Order: sequence, then C-alpha cells, then structure tokens
Amino acid sequence: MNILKAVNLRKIYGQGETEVRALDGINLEVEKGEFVAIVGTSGSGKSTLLHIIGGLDNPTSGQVIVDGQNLSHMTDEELTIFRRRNIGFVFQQYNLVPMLNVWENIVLPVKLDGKKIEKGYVNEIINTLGIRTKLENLPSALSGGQQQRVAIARALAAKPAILLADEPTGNLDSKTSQDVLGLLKVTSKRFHQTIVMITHNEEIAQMADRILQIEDGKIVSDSGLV
Amino acid sequence: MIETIMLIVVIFVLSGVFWYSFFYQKEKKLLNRLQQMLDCAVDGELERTEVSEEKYSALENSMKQYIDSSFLAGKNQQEQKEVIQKLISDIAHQTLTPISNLKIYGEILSEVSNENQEEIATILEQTDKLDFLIQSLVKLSRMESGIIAVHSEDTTIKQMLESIQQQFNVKVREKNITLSLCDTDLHVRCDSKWTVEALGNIVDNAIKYTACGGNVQIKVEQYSFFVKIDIIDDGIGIEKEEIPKIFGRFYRSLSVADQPGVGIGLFLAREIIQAQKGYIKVTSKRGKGSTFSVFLPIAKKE
Repeated sequence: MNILKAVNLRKIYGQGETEVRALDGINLEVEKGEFVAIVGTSGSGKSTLLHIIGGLDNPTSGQVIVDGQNLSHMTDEELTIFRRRNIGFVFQQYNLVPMLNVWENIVLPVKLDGKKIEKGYVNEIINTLGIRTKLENLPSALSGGQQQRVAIARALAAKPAILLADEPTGNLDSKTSQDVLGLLKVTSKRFHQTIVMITHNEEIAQMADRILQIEDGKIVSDSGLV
Repeated sequence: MIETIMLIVVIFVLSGVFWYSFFYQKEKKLLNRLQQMLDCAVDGELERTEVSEEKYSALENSMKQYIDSSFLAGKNQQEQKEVIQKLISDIAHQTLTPISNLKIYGEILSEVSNENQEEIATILEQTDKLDFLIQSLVKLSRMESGIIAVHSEDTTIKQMLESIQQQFNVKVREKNITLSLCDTDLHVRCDSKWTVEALGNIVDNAIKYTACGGNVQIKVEQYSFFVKIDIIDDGIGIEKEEIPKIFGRFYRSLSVADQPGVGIGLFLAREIIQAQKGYIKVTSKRGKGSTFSVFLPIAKKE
C-alpha cells in the first residue's frame, strides 16, 4: 500500500536570473512500513523535500498525497490537524517542551487531539526505547541521545501514518547516533512504522531499507533491498 | 399588549434554548457512544451492547459484521500462507535424502573410477551447492512458518565465537587465513543456535572472498543498547552501489560469478538477526575488504 506519493514536485525560489530550483520534478512513492533514507549534500534540496512532504511548506507545483489525502487541497487549519494526527516529526534539535516532563512530552500530541492515551502501547514504546527510568525528568536533565529518544517516542505515540526525521542524529556523537538509529530501526520494524529520514551521512543512510540520492533537486538514484 | 408579546418572545427563546441543549446533549452522548464502540473495535472486543429498533443498534450490528468479515479474510490469508510454507518445507525435506545419496554415489564414483574425474568433480560441486541451497531453504521456511521460534536469552558472546572458530577451523587452514577473535565477557539477548548460524554465514563469506594468506578478524564493542560484533576481512570488498543489494534473496554479485554460492546466506543471516531485534550494517571498499557489523540487543544486568 502506498502511504506517501509525491508527483512532479517543484519548488522554485526567486525569479529570473536569481531563480533557484530547490526541487526540480521529484516523483516518489513510499510503501507502508518502509524505512527510506534520503541522502544528499547540503543545498541538494533534501530538507525542502521533507518539509513539503510534511506539509510544513508548499510546493510551487506538484502534489503530495499522504495516506490518500492530497495536502495541496487543504486549508492551513486542516493541514495543522492532519499533521498532528498523521505525520510525526523528529528534528535534529529534538524540539521537546522544556516545562513538561518526559511522560507529558510523549503523550502531548495524543492529548492535543482529545484522544484517550493507549497506555499499553505507549509503555511498549517507552520500554523499547529504554527511557522508562526517565519519565519524571525534565528534558534539560537528559543527554542528547536520551532527548532524541524521547522525541522519537513522542512521534510514535500518536501512531502517525508516516514519521519524518530530519538529520535525527546531527547533534549526536557517532556512538550515540548508532544507538539511536538502531533503536529507530528496530522500533520501525516492530510497529510497522513508515519512516522517511534525511541525512547527509551515507553511513547513517545505510540503516534504511531504501536509499534515495538527491542532487540539485532531482532524485539521481534509488536503491532498495530486493 | 406589549407585555403579552414580551412573554411570547421569552417563551420562544426559552424553548429554543431548551431544545438546542436537548439535541446537543443527545448528539454528544451518541458521539461518545460511537467513539467507545470504535475504541472497543480497535481493541478487538466489540460486543453488541443492545438489540433494538434504534439506529445505534443497527450501526453496531453492521460494525460487528464488518469486523467479523475482515477478521475472516485475514485468517484465510494466514491459512493460505501456511499451506504454501508447508509445501516448501515438504519439498525441501523430500529432496534431502536424494541429494545425500547423490553425494555419496558421486564420491564412490570418484574413488573407484580413474576416468572422467573432471566431470565427477563438477557433479559433486553442483550437488554441494544444491545441498546448501535446500538446507538454507529448510531453515528459512522453518523460521518463517514459526516452526522454530527464536528464543532470545542471555548469551555469552565468547561461547558463540568459540563455536564459530571450531566450525571454520578446516576452511581457514586450507586457505591459510588467520581468523582472530577478541576476548570478551559481554552478554547479549539472542538465541545462540540461530545467531551462530547467522554469524557463521557472514564468516563463511569473509573467508570465501578473502585471498589465501589473508586475515579475518572478529571484534566486539559495547554500546548502550546494543553490542556490535564486527567481522572484518581484507578480501575483495563490495562496490558501494551493491551494498544494499547483497542481503536480497538469491542476489549474487556479477564480480563473484566464478565463485560457488547461491546467494542465500546473507539473506538468512539478516532474517535471523532481525528476528532477534538486531540489525546488520556493512562498510566496504572495493579491493580493501569489508566489515559486517552485527548489532544485537545487550543483555540487561539483573
């Protein structure tokens, strides 16, 4: 099943001589449960692509379809609600709420949606990510790797259709990166979570089932496991 | 006169407010009930709470029917899958005896006959290949059909590495390769029998694709959640573009077409490691050698 589809995406900044084509005709399909890495150097357009897929930015032309829903047909308010329910984000700088403790951070998106918290499911995520002992702590008392694990748990708790990760280990040392990514990979398999991750690091990209290489706003290679 | 009009207006407004709040409450109650019904359905515990002429009851009935039919469809699919797996496993089992007979008679033939030695050797080589293929398929189908479940338990890495060393003693000596292990007292959560199988397949590849006199090293490193077991060789290496493909079923690199093999060892290895909540990573340089890193969950200290 197709969970994400991008059709002929273009994003053009500026006009005339200063025109920059950040995305230049991207076509992409992601299956449910797939772990896809998008690699490219800085300026290749990978962040723009992720932002557009996540509905954080609008394309100049083209369409994004997430779980059967065409994002370009939605108003800003609809987009906000759709994102909260169906798209999970993990950013390089964690973006945890500093005043809330770990547990409160994790269940925040579910609470915002006015839904009952599935304690069993959330606890399973917490155990898999090894943050059980930190639930009462504030984010400031955690290491970078722990904070990122909390961010991953928060993204997973809402059972999003797709999880988008933007350089998730950009601020972590190589050993912690390996741990965090390993857990991300293991959890994605366990909960059949679809993940799209962008990174400039090819070694990190190798953790994915499928690697897309992007250069000058175009996908130049697409290699996946058979 | 004005007073009467005022009174009528007030009565209208009041009854408006009454009816509005009445329907609002009713709708809220209904939506809450529906939400509850769906929550139950998600948990797979939907029961008919009432049987009546009410619309809610009809809705509940339809929901129950829908869930039952989708459950049935899922079950049918599962059954079909099991039939296919049983067939594969039967085929695999029934071919084991003829293959071992082929091997035995081939060997006898090569001992008693002085002619056609080259052809006999080819037949034996191909039989070995078939043997490995069938055995791997048996293992795969057993694992996939859950006949052999992976039982993860606290396991010492040292023990597994020693059994691998023993297993490859002969092969290593034949090619004059140095197989060096590191000393470790780390524990992981895994099924030692299956893990040895997976690590064995990787080591077997390392030996196969390393020239005579080369080195194969096994190193172990501790992470917070995983233990990394590196299998490092200084063999032919793998092209970067090819790395994601090597774990595919029946994938064989064109550059090693002259080597015996069927392309199932790494696939099986990855399946085994993933079934134990671990993963495999590869770094390689063409002509310099490859490193296969197996990550297994670390055993928590009690």
